[in-house]
Amino acid sequence: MILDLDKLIAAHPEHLWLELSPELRERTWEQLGNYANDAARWRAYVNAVCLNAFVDWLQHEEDLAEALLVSPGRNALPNIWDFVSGFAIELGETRLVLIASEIYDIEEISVPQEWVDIPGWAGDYYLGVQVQLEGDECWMRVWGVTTHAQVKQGNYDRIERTYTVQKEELTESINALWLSREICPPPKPVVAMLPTIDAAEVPGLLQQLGQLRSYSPRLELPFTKWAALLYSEDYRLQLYRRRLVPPLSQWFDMDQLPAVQAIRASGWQLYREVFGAVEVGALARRFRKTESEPAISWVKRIDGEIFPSKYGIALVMNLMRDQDGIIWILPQVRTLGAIERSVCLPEGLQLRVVDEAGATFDEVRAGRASNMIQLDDWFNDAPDSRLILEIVYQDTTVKESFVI
Amino acid sequence: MLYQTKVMCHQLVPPPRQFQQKFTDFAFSLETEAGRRHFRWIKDIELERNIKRYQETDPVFCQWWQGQDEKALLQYFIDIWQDLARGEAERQLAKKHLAAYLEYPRYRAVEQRYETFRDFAAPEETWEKYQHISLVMAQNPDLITKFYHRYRGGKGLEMHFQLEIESEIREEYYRETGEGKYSDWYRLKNTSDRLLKQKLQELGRVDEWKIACCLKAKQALFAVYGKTGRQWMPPSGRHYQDAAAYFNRYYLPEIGEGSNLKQPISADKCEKWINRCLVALKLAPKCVSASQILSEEAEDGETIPPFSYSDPEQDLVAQEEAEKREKALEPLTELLAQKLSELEGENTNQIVLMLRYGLGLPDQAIGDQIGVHQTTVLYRRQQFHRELVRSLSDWVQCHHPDRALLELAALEDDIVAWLQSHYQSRLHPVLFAAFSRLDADSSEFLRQAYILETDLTDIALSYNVKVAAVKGQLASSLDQLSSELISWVDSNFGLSIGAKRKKVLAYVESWIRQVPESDILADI
Repeated sequence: MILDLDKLIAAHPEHLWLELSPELRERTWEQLGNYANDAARWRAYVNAVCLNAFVDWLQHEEDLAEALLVSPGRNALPNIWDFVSGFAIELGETRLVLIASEIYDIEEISVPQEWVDIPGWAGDYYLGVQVQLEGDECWMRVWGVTTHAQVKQGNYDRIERTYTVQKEELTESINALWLSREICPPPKPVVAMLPTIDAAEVPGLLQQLGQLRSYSPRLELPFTKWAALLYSEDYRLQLYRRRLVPPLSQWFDMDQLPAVQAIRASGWQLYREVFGAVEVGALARRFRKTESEPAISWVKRIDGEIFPSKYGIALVMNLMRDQDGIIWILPQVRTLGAIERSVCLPEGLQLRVVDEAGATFDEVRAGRASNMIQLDDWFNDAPDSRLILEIVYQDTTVKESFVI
Repeated sequence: MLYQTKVMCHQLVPPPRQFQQKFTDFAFSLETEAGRRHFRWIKDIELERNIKRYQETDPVFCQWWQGQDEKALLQYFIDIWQDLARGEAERQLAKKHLAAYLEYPRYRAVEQRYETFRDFAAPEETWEKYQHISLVMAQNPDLITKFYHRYRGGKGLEMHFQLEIESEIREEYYRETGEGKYSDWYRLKNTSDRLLKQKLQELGRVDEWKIACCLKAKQALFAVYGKTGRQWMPPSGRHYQDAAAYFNRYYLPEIGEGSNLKQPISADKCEKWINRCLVALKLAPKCVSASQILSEEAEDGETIPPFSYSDPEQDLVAQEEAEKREKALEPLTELLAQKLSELEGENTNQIVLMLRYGLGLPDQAIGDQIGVHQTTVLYRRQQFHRELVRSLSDWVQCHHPDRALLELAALEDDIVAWLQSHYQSRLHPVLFAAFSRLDADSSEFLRQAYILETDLTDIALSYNVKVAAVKGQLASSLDQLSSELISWVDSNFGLSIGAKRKKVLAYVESWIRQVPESDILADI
């Protein structure tokens, strides 16, 4: 064993050390929820494990256990972690913000600006947490504590939008925090109100940010605008859903309203809504579907300004579930508009299927007079696996990621 | 191939057991004429007899057995194993009971990991290897104890052990394949910019802006790339494309100023910079993990002293500060002592307090004595500190109007110092008495070596003996003092701390170094 927790604890007994048991890790991983990309999923996992372990510990400390609230509520956490790391716990009137990091040689605490400058998100205290989530012994430790005022006095990194406080300026003992809040709590943080976001501007912003699926859009807008968007639970949820697509297994049942809403929120429409009943009939004949094999086709319009096609283009997801429950996929790219048959796709435009390892699984390219391209055959993959469809033309790539 | 392998695997797992079999039965595999394997549970007669004996002689055990309280029974056998005063035969039987309990979880763990990581080319070898790892663990009671103390309820004790063993097997697999914490990508992700910058400089990168580019390329990569499923797979071309896009969008405008970097970077460029980081990281693999450094340096639970340069002027200021704070605490000692006596009244608190603040034993050693994990000892001590500071809350509100966290942390340190002084003052008379019983030469050797810090060669010369003789005499004297102290603690607290003799010896040595010479001379 390279890493011995017992020795680490002995080296820093003033820190709060919590073991992260295999059960806790498994349970957390299983209950993680959906995220737009792998980086966000790992970020959520790191935070969720720390949250669960810290709350478990707090509830076992008799003299500290009191009204404990995960703020703004556990259900809201996925739509925060999809964008930014960190979480808050309210103990009575005290608000703790925990910032987890996996960095080996901790030198500082880096607090995302969201947890400092958004009213209602800011904490009375900030706890630096180091976490080790790989290896036979997994653990977390609270290695430093500071206050909102100290964080505000820290270094502000305008590129990453973080406040940084050096290790030497932090208090290593978590006991100081408990005693401070009981005996002489610091003044409540004063955070400037955010400007109201123009409701008319929101759809455009959601559209813009919703397309950035491979990373968090937190640096995309000026901070105050981004913060105002994030602060609104409604807008945050809309943005989260827009970036997130439900698993393809949920794309068949139109009675599953939340799933259907999420699919629609990310820009998908039913085939018949875009191309009409006549085209649906043609599609059914093309795929020779049977009564016993449920099938559905969804369409997403691709922004007309991205690709040089007069009437715009659409990505079509044809889905079929066979008798064994396996989902078969046949994606297409085709032109849009009333006279789409006579309009061609840009020559050289490609449709690629990329697996979760990033390898191209299959691809097809538009010729000189293609008005539709599709793969040679249907394909499938294991449930819960991920795939990405890429539409590529010259320097431009549009990506759509899916979970089966 | 996949299907066939799976079938073979399932046949190699024994069926679940009844409770009555869990502490006595081991799995045996049999091969039928058709070449198929199946399992039977075979009762170990010796273990069965042992269970009956405990049922007849120990009503508490009997109650746990009838109540099928697996957790309590496991603790029962762990306690027997850890009790060195018990006969070796009884301890070995306890060890075997623990191994029997792990029999089913370990097979299940092997099956689970085998499903995930089997080697298609040689599935039998993988199976045998995982079996071996799990068997070694099941026969290691100290490891079982460690796993046991991590149990926090939930899915059941057997499942807990299964997951723990799975985790160990997975670790072994990761070690071989360079995944998990051994993955280059995981290491790169968790290496700080400060350390990486240092490594890049060592690699010969001197231009600040080029180093900045490498560091930001790394950050861009980890903004778009994470663990896929359960593995840190190498980033794909798509990841580098996304990382380059991220870099160009957010970092280029800042880095570009004052550097040669004017144009957006390509995915290839981004990959090249990240590879440069990887190469730099591999230059000194031992330096990437502070945790690893700590674990390699810390021996036997000893606290690692922070590295610092000694500045006499600063030392003096610190000493004056400490004295000032100690003086400030003086009027409060009555309050502290009152609170402490309340705390001592509960359960094993007094033992924890004496062993930690008196003898200076590490939490792990204290946990061994009272049968809890060291983190439990740590949490309990931290709670003591809180209780003691709370007892001074009126004074704190008066004397710490600036409400600084650091001030409260310093107060906690002062209280720890007070606790040490309080408990050590109870041990000092024991040591003075023991010291007075040493013969004259032994006392004098100790005084010369520890108080006057005379070189051993000089002591040997002045007494006209060999250095080895001086060493032997000193060791024997320290051993005598330690024995008397251990005996006093054992009899007053109902403990058996003989196994911690090395720690006690260290305490005795530090006591002699610190005790005023006049006190020692009075005894001599």
